[in-house]
Amino acid sequence: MVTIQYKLQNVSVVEQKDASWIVRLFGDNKIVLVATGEVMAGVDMTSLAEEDIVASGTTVKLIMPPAEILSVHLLPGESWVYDRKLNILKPNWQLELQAQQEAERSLREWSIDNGILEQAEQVFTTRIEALLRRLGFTDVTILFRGLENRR
Amino acid sequence: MSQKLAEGNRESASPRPASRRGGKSVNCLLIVIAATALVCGLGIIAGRPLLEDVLPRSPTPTLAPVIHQVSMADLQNVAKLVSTEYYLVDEVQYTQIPDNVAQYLGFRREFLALLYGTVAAGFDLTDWPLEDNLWQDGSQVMLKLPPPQVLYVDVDFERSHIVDTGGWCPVGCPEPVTDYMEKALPEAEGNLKEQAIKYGLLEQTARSGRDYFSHFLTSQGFTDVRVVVDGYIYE
Repeated sequence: MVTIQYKLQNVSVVEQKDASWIVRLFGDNKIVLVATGEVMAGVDMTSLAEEDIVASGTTVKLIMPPAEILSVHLLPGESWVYDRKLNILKPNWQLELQAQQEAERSLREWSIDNGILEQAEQVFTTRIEALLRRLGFTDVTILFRGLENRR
Repeated sequence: MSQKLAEGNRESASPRPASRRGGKSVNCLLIVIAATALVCGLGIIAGRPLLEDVLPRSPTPTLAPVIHQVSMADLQNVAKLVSTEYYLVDEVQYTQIPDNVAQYLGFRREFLALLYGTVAAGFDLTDWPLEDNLWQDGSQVMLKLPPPQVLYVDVDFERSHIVDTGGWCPVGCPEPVTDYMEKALPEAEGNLKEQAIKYGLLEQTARSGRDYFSHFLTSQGFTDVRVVVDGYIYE
């Protein structure tokens, strides 16, 4: 379940320099990409096992897997190439894709560094607790396992 | 020979306006420059494969440190339950034709890209009031889910790539990457979504959502569980 969603903008500058100076005479391959993307974090409920749910009377305890990044995707309609240079001898047409991969990686790292996983768990807890209380449980405990291995 | 020399001398001896002489020499110069540029250009294009063989090869070109600057545009607390994902590929073919006089010279460039991506569908429970959709009485429970929807399309940039570029367009065409970024990608997202829906993504999502919640509620101790998905009927 995705419980938190960031919309981020990222400026990536990716430059490829050839090792040969002769090739470098004809310029470098370089791209400046302004990418807007969405990072979604939440809890993967498919890995919830039977033994992770303990219900008895009006008491319930859930042991959930830790929150994780469930999706990072760029929004092509809101992303654009700001600048691009191509080497005449060895143009790298794939630099665009490398820049996009870099952008995605950067958005993922930035989100984790800024606490998206902790926020995802908080929101998840609030929502599931409300659901469980609605189902009649009065004593609700939600735990996340393996937090020490986060990142 | 002597006659030719004589004619030449006669011609050079005849008076001509200075501006006309200058105009001719400028034209000659332009022709020489254009011819040189053409020869150099053709030389580079034709000799590129040869040069690539002759030039010292670097094992892998170095990728300079990447600079990133990230800023937050929006933050939302949501409740989106992703229950089904399809991984699809879309083949995008583009032909670029200059929108100026260069089009009459036959300039055109084509490129073919393969775009892979995941289409994820599920239930957006963000604005889904529990009190209107969940009824519980003892060991009985009934849950009504909203209609499933495509929640996002995630293009796989590691696998997607431009497969081929062809044609020749020295002037007037945008770079393939520009069209790739601005036209091919948004179009591919739409195509992937359309294909996924055509292959029954939403029906499968409705079914798996119903099964998932039925199982979840049963594991909470309810014996009479009924889960319905708005707009879908399954027996």
